Amino acid sequence: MRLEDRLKAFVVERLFLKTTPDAIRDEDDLFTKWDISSPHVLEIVIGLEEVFGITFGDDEFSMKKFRTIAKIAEAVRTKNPNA
Amino acid sequence: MTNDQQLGYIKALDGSPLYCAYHPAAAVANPQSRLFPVVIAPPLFEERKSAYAPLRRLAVKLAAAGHAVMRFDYRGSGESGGDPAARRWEHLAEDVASVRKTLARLSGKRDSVLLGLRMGATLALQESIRAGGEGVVALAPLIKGAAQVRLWKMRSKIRAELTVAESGTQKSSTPAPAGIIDFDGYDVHPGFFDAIASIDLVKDLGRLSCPGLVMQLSHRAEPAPETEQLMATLGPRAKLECVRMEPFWDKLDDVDTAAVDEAVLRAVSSF
Repeated sequence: MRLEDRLKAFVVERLFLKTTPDAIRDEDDLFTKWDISSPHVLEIVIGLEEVFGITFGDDEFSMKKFRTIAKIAEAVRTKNPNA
Repeated sequence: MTNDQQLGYIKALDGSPLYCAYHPAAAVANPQSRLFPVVIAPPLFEERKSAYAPLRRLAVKLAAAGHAVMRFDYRGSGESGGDPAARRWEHLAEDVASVRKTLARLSGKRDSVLLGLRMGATLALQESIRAGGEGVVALAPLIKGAAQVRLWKMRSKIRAELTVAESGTQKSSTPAPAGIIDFDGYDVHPGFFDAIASIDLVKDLGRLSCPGLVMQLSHRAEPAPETEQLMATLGPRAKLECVRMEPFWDKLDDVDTAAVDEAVLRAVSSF
């Protein structure tokens, strides 16, 4: 399965989104299209660290990295190329 | 005063007025049951606001089931007086002790159950180990303080980014005094965050001598590793319930917390 598709399932489950993973597109702005908020971003970060065994340093943390599924996938691949 | 609660202030140890809401116990059919009074220790910062309505609802249900309940705001937060920038972790424990004493006087019962949410749950566990009590309920306790402080700082950064994105400028609130952290608009002494960062309930706590309920409230239906470690530390008197639900303390919208209320009522009536 593509990393992007795994991330969609992860986001839907972890954030209790009232949609299905298939409904989310890679480039959707998760904030405006799926109404996620700042606590949700934290939940994504914690979840990515748990699931992919990666760590985000405080200085490299930016909301822009988590705005779309494509961006999240890029952030994960940078940390863990085997993801 | 409203129909189901009495509002007022008591004095904290440093003289600050502590805001309290007392929910008298309703008369119940079975007077033989052990109906302990309950102190509710809230979270702090933005979580306190989001958790206000759910904790008030829980207090009303507990009172209807025959438990006198006291809710309160820590000094320097909510409706209580006191300087938030001067607050330290040990002050929270002092505030809990003051509220417990007042609840004992009002309810006519010597001791009480401590119930806390998030940081309040961490405090409730610490205080129950230190001072005992009739029981403890810990809802989504902060188990590793360092991880939580890191999250709070990240969250603060996101909020700042969102504020700039929406308004085009940094927020224009009054800057925090020198040496004080401006955390989402709350003045916080660095020592307060340092104290929270040093918390590790798995290492710090010991066995519970009173009955306890720990509730893990998250996307997981099974215990997280750190929750399992905490339960091992607390020993056999502590029971665990895992409920898969949204973190209502992080939400602006009202979340259905009936599952939590039911579990708490079951636990407190069995203590």
